[in-house]
Amino acid sequence: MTAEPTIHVVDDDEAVRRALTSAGELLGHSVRSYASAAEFLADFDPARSGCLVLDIKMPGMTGLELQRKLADDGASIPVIMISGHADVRIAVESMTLGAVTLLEKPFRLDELLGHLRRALEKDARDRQALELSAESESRLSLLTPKEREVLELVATGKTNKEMAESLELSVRAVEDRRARLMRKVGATSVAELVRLLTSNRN
Amino acid sequence: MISPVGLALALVAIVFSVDLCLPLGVASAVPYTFAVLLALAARPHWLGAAVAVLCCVLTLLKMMIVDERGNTELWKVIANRCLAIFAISMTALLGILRRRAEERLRAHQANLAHMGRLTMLGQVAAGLAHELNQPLAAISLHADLAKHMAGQTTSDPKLLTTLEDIANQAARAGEIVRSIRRMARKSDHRHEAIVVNDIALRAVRSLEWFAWQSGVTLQLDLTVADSTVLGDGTLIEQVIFNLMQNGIEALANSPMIGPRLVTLSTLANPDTIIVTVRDTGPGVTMPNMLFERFHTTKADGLGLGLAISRSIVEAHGGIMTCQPTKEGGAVFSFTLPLHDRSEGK
Repeated sequence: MTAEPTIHVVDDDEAVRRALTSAGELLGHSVRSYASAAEFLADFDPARSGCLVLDIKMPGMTGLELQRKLADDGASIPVIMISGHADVRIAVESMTLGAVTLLEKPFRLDELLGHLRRALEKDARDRQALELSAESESRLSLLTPKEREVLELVATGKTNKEMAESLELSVRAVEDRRARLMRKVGATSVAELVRLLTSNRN
Repeated sequence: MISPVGLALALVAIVFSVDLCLPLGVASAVPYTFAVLLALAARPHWLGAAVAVLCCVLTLLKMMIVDERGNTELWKVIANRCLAIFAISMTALLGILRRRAEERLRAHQANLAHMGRLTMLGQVAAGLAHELNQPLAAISLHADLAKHMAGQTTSDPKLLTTLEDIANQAARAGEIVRSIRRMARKSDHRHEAIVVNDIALRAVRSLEWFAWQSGVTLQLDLTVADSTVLGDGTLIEQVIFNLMQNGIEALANSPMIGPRLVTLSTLANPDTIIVTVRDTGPGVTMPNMLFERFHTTKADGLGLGLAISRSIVEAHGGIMTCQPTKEGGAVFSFTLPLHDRSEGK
């Protein structure tokens, strides 16, 4: 599912679009460019990894509107906003919508590349976390409610004896249950178990 | 050219000598008022008052120098002189009051024009910033890219510095555009509670003459009493002025028959005030281009009026729209966040 990331470029100005495309290709990733928000939306697949370089002022749907739509649709693609003249209000709105950054035109190549790299890293991280949580979810779903109870207690750092007291079971029974749940979720240590639990909760 | 004061003094001298020779009572003092009117046009302002005082003194002086003919009783003579002095001083007073009002109006209009120019500069700068920053961004990126590519195939330092220079200069041009915008924005607005209806009335007063000339009737429907909004009164007045002026111009240039009305109304919503200007003219073509900078349908227009108006409204936290009407004609309205509902000034 994590194929090569794609850099998407949306800008209505052709010269800028071409420059942005060449800059993206410099990083060795594939770049797709669009002249309008509508063109981008027609082609966009949220499952594909990558990032988006988005011009704020465009005829038709503006960059901010596109950003808002993506946020509403729950697409988590990192967005680098670029603008010919950003006023404070737009900048604030764009950042609250989760833009990685806002670059004011004209900007330098190094600036852009730095932000592109960070945006792609962020996307990779986000996707990994998402995958991890999906995986732990599926593993944890194998547990019975009683095993789940033990798991929660293990995560809080209780010893077998303490657990036995609070669950009103014998120490032996607790040990049994604990070994079974470790086997079920495929964890070899308590640390791994806790990681699984936290990634599921995120 | 003879100065108004010189003329006024000459007139005073003539009137005084005639007054000395002829037993005309009140009538002989009447021409003094013309001298006062003349002197009122002079600069500095106190000259008008000074000439009026001089005329009064001379009027009294005549009474002392020349005895009226024996058949007139003394009280009549005095009453006549007092009437003359009254006429002179009233002329002076009214003249001075009128002059003050004119000056206030002129100062106000100059202020409006000044604010208009500043806002226009801001708009032009914003337009330029957008138009120029696009190609500048492309230049800067392409130069950087070229430098990068050249760095892989050649080690000619001259080529690399040249490309670096291009990118640097593009960045510099961007910085210049940005600083112009900052400068234009610095003239930014005052922030005070303003009574919308007062502002609206001021705008209407400035346009009454133009409307009358164009055969257009102005109608008012101001329903928000003394409700206030926060912002710059001069700018808001300019917005209303612009919208109404557009309406009047549209009617003035239209051969249509029927009612020629421009209506200004204010309306209070729960948390906004809506100001609407409606005209019975031919309506608007290309509604989506209306607010664009440099778009105009007037022969001598710059295409900035509506763009400026909208940016003023938006700077005040409102929105401006133009709706079509069934009867034809245009309806422009804008909102302003309500500050204080009808609580007096």
